[in-house]
Amino acid sequence: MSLNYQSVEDAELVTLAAQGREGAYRELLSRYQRPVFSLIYRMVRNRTVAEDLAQEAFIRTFNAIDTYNPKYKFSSWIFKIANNLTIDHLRKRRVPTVSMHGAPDAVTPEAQARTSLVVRSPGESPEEYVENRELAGQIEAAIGELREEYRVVVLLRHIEGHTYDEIARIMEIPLGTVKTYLHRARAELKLRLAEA
Amino acid sequence: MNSDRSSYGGHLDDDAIQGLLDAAEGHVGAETESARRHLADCPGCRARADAWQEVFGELGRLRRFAPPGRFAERVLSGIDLPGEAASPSRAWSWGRLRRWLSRTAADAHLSGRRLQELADGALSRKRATLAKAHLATCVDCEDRLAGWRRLIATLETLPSLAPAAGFAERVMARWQEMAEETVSPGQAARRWRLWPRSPRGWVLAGTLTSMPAAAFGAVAAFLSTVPQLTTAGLVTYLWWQARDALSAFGSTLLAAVVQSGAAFRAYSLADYLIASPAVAVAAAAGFTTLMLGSIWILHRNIDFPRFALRHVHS
Ligand SMILES: [Zn+2]
Ligand SMILES: [Zn+2]
Repeated sequence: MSLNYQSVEDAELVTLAAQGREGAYRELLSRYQRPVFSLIYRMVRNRTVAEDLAQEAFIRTFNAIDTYNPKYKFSSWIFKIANNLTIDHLRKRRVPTVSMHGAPDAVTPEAQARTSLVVRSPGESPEEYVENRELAGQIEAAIGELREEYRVVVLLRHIEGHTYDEIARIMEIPLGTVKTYLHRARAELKLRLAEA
Repeated sequence: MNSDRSSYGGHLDDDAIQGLLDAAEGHVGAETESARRHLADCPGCRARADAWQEVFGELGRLRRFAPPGRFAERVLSGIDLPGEAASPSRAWSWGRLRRWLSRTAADAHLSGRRLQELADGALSRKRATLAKAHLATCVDCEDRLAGWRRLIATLETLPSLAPAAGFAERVMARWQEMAEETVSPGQAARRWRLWPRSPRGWVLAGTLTSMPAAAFGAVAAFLSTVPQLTTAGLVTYLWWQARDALSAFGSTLLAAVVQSGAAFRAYSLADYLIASPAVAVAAAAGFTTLMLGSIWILHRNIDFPRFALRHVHS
């Protein structure tokens, strides 16, 4: 039996997928691989890590496909899974920050020199070069400097085009908080772009 | 300021009216809103407000002493006066108060948050209308709005970034691989039930299955050393033993249960089965089949119902 999955709505695709139709899974993948990857990539800013996380997000979604609640949009659901994975990853990876000017307790110039980061410009691999070009530019840099919560809301709203309600559901935060985050995120972006 | 006097809906006292007139000059308190509402539909209080306004007017008209020359210019060059306040007369007119009283939100500058939400299309229709009414008269706010619109437009030009080619294939392959190697999917689980999956599993299963055989073998080896015993004799002996044990069990049961009809029938049945080995074997086989069948049905339908269809290829 063959179906034209491209003309099938998300909710129906999920039902077909839950029945074990491989084609339905493939169609969901082709619909969401780009937006899901985009979001994760702009959050972690590393292609390899972003692809691994995106793959994990799809596998988790597929394995839980029969727990999907059709009351909500499929896109909200998969973005919620992707966002949780990404935030987990960023939290785990976070290390104590070392100032460019040396450790906070370094008082003498020698100690400062010893503990400060050496900023080198190593030979870039071709992938790194592509990556840097992709996320280069003032806006991408300004987005990259936002704190995680602000970055997610801006990306979900202005690149993925989710509604405020959907963002609240994806991030599991109240609607008022979404508005506040968005407001502050845009104010920060405006400031950074004006400085640049 | 006394807020209950003007907020409970009764007439305004002198403090409240003065507060209101003060508010018209810019000292806006929380209670002025209800006072204004009261003033709008109470002729008595309005008359008193008029009287007070006269007093304010008189104060405003107090004789002025001429300041030194070019004083006004010097002051005006140092401050940024809004248009109305710059008018020569500080006197309060009823008309001016009325104008102030009818002021709406449309006169206030829009907050950055309001402007952002307007630019993002996230304001309710009512709020958007109010905001637009202000924007129609305020270049300042219009400029700020344009700034937010530019930022949002810039953000929206950012491209969606694609994963490397073959991403979808890799996800499907990895997912199917995982489905096969994990215990949860039905097929893998069923295979696990039939065959051990690790060397340790094989050792355990081998030991368990060979133990009865080894025990039987040991007994058989011992018995073969006793020449008086024949196979037929041994089987007959075992059969008698089993029959005696069953009879003893039946008698005990009979003694234990007060002689009810059911117990008696069960005893008769046991007796009948003992009397005919073929019927006993058939009954045992039937019972075992029923048990295994129901376990199988439970396993298929309750344990893993959702995996049954997972690998249908379409
Ligand atoms: Zn009154
Ligand atoms: Zn304004």
